[in-house]
Amino acid sequence: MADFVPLMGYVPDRRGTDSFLRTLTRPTLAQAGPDLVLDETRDVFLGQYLLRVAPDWKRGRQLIGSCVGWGWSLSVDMLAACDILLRGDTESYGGRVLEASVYAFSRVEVRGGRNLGGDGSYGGAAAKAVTQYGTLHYGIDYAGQTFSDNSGTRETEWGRDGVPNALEPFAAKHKVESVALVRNFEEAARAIQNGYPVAVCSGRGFSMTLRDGYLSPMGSWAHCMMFAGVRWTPKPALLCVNSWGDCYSGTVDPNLPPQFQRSSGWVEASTCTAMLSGEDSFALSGYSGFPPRVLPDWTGGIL
Amino acid sequence: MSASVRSAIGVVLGCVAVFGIPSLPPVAPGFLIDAPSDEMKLKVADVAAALRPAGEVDRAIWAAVWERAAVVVAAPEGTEVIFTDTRSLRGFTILSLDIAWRRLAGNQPGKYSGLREAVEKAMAGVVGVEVVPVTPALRKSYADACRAIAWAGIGNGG
Repeated sequence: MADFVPLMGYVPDRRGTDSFLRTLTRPTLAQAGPDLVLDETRDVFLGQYLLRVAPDWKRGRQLIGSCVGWGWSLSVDMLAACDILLRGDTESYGGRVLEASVYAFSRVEVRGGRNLGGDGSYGGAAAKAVTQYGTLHYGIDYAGQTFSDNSGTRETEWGRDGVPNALEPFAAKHKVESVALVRNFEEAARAIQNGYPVAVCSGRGFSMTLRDGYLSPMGSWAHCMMFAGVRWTPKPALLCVNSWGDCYSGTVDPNLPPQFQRSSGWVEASTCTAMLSGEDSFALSGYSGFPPRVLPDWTGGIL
Repeated sequence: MSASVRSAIGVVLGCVAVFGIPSLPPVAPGFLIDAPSDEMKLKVADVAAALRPAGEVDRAIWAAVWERAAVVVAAPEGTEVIFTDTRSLRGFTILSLDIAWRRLAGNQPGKYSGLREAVEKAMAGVVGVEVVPVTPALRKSYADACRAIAWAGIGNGG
């Protein structure tokens, strides 16, 4: 297990989230996706799609209280992969979303001014950030500026002053089309089974020791993470991916790829519902990704 | 797919309608397609092998659609650019095949074992799979590949 610092940074803002929700035509998953089917026999792990488009992916570690940026950025990354591989969007994977961009947009641009408070943000602000301001990525040349490192300094500065204006047009090209409030385990499972990841903000804490891949509720974390999988046996649960690197000890789920075994854990259904009942967690859909770099084929299945 | 590409496909289909299905037995011998280079023959050898069991009608339609696709893409552009990058060429290829080979001729996917793989290999080997702008050189490569695939389908090579 790697050294880690259990940084968090979820600062709930009920009025802020409610204000954002009022701007949505269909704010809840039940309203936005009434036709989504829940199959209580089908396990789904969205991380497999991320690893197919980004085989070298490994969970990083937040360096300040920027968990909202981290939970949401990974959700966007998985959405991008699912759009390509599950929904056949003619796009290519453009690399990891720069967590600082989501974090800063959620703290500054969404508020309309500099943010001189301490670290932290909330789900509704991140939802507004990715749908209205977009996302930046690691490894992309933004008119001579390329981001290759995970910088706490950048997150602090941008979280105070916002994403530099010169970069905003680049971010605007890569927005999430829609988000929907997820309020319980069943809704989250339904979203995930249909390829829509869920960014979760809650006060639920966990033991750092996995038991056969499951997390045990313990203490309080004002924290944002994301749900990337659903399983039904031995106990119905969602896979909750943290942003503290390979932080968990104990007995892992050997069915998960190694990149997820100690960076995430299964959370039982009732605990998931408790986490989601705070009504600041969202399913994401429809990412505006990058143009394709290679053709899928030449004959499209006709022959 | 743009209206321009659809128009181009219309040209191909018109050619298939005129030259393809109606005159069944004599059609295949009527196709005189110049033999490709030795290198190109190798690239389409699997196409010839896959179509070895095909009858005269299917061979004729096959040759017609690929040969006409080559004609369309090789022709000079008008004032409106139709083929912008390889995605538009792919769309044109798929729709041409879908309409002529599948819908009009009634050939279902998988009818000829190995045909899809053979064509994909040939196109990838000659034109590539990168999304890139359509240049005069790429037009020529595409047309060469199409003509070779047509040539391989009417009993040559393999």
